[in-house]
Formats: sequence, structure tokens, C-alpha cells
Amino acid sequence: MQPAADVIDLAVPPPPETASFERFYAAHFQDLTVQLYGYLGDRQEAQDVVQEAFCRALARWSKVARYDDPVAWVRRVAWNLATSRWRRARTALMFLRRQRADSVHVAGPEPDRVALVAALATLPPAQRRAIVLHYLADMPVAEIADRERTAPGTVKSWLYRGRAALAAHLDAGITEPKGTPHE
Amino acid sequence: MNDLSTDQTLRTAFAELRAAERSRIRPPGADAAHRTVRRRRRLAAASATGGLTALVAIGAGYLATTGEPAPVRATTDPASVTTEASAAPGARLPQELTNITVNALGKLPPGSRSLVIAGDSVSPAPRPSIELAAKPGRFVLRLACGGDGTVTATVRTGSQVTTATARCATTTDAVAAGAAETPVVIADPGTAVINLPSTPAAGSRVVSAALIPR
Repeated sequence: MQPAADVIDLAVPPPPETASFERFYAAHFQDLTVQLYGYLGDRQEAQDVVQEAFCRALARWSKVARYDDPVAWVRRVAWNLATSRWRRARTALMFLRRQRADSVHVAGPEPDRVALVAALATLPPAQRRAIVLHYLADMPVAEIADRERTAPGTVKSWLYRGRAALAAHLDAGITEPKGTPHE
Repeated sequence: MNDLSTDQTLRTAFAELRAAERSRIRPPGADAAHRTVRRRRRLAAASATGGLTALVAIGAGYLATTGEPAPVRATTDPASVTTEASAAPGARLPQELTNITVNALGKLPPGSRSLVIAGDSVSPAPRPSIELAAKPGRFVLRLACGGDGTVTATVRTGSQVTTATARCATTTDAVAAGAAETPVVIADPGTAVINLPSTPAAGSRVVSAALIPR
């Protein structure tokens, strides 16, 4: 079949790593976004930094694909972006977008999940990172310690304090009246 | 609540959060990532050549309608472009090689269209192809390569497919001497699609191409 004049028709097939990137993206985008959402407390912002991290992975995919754990690379980039100048530079842009997004419909998460994410936001960054990596990324203490370049004991301490703080917040939330009369 | 029961409670709560949020997230898609990367590479290439490239037209669907220099598409927000450039030094062009390659194309007559393809953007996924748009007519495609080895481009204009092989070099005279030319006829809607092979060496080369009216 003759291609139309304005259709891009590849003379060379896409490199095999292209397909592997598609699979990699599909397999991990949502999990990573949930993890960043837990840390940032903003779903759209989490999605932005994860997408940006995937773009950076794609830009050097032939190298990243050969890493032992490409997901860890993307996660690290996303977390770095979440606290970087890149994120601050995009604040105004995201604010504007949120104004548009807010006008469009999506149903909000359930109150329990809002409370959990809100409680996470009250934790100091190190504790929040540890909690999110442990409970949302299923990372063991040793791996978090390695990632954070600290001792496992320190991570355990962060987790312990984080759990205590979360429990306090969530308990307080549960005992507060929610507007629905108890029977 | 003791720490152990808190741990169990949190495991349940986070598992529910993860399940609920996963269903709410709509990924922009791998295609969007590909588009972003391609756009950044093109913008990086265009900005690196600066005023040296008289006519730069990059992007699918762009159809030149005048003989004036073509604008570079700038659809990416400047903030992300700037920070990407600073965050990804690998995407930057070897400026000197770029200048050499552009100069090696020679003085381009009015109505020409040219672009510079640099570094590892020679092998972008999933479409290692670049479109050059021009008015319909008869052209010569001139291909110049800075770096080592040779580069063969496949040029498709409508149903016509030709190849051009340029010998790469590192001085203007040598690049000009190694430049390849091939006649192409552009019919309405006036686009030449240039494909470059993905090779390990591609990342160290800078390739310039120009459509010159005959």
C-alpha cells in the first residue's frame, strides 16, 4: 500500500526499547503517582512530577532501561522534582490549571482518604517520605535507609514517630464530630 | 493504639488509598512523553543553532507558505524547557560541531528549508523521523554530518523514496566535502520526511539537512 504524501512512514522500525518504555510506563505510572500524591498531597502535582520523571527517563531510555531497577530511578527523579526548583517554577502554571480543573467535575476522594493524606501533610518531610515509601511503595526499612543514605535505625525511628503522629491525627479526626449525628 | 496495631491500621488504610487513587489517576500516556521529549530536543537543537540557521522548520504538519525564514514551533512552556536543558546536559548540543555542520550546508537561497538534528535526537523513539516542509516543487536535499563515520538518511516525499549518505567530519570544509545531495520532488501538501538510522554512534553526531529549491 502506498503511503499518503503527508503520512510519516518509518523507513526504520522503532528501536526495541520503545516498546519496553511503553510497558514500563503503563506498569508503573499509577503506583508512582500515588506515592507522590501521598508525599505532596496534591494529585495533579504528583501526576505532573511523575510524568516529567518519565519524560526524563525516556530521554535517556537506552541507559535507564539497563539499570537494575529503572523504577527506582524514575521514583528518585520524581521525588527530587517534587522538592526542586522545577516544581517551584511551575507553581503558577499549575495554579492556573487547577482553577480550570476545579471547575470540571471529578468527584472528590472519600473523607477517610482525605484525612489520611491531610495527616501525612502534617509530618516532617523525612517522616513523611519514610511512611510513604514504606506503606505506599512497599519498601523495606533497609531499602529506605539506603535510599535516604541513613542508618536503618533512623528510618525505624522516622516510621515509629510517623505512625504515632498519624495515629494521633486520625484518632482526633475520628473522635471529632463530622456533621452526622451519632445514633 | 500501640505501634503494632497502628502499623496494621495504616497498612490497611494505605492499601485502600492506593487502590482508590489508582483508579482515579488518568496517565497522560507514553505518547505524551514521547511528544514532550521530541519537542524538547527540537527546541534544544533550534536554540543551540541560534542565528546561524537561517531557516529552521521543525515539526510534523508545518507547511511553509512563504519564502521567509520559518518560525520554530514553541509550544512547550518556557519554564520546563529551561529546566530540562539544565537538568539534562546530555541533551545539549556540541555547539562547535553544530556551527560547523550548519556552515557546511553553505549559503542557502530563498525558499530553502533547513534543520539541525543533534546528538541523541538522531534516534528518538518512537519515530526517528523529521519533517521538512516547503512549497511544492523540485528541490535538492543536502545532508551534512559533523562527527565520525557516515550517516545515511532515507528521504520520503509522497511515494518517492531516496537515500543520501553523508561522510561525517569535524571541520567545515571536510563536512561540506562529505555532504550528500539528492533530488527530491515535493508535491502538495509539501513535506519531506527524513529518517535517520538509530545507531550507537548517532548520539555523538550532528546532522544538518536542507531542502534547496532547484
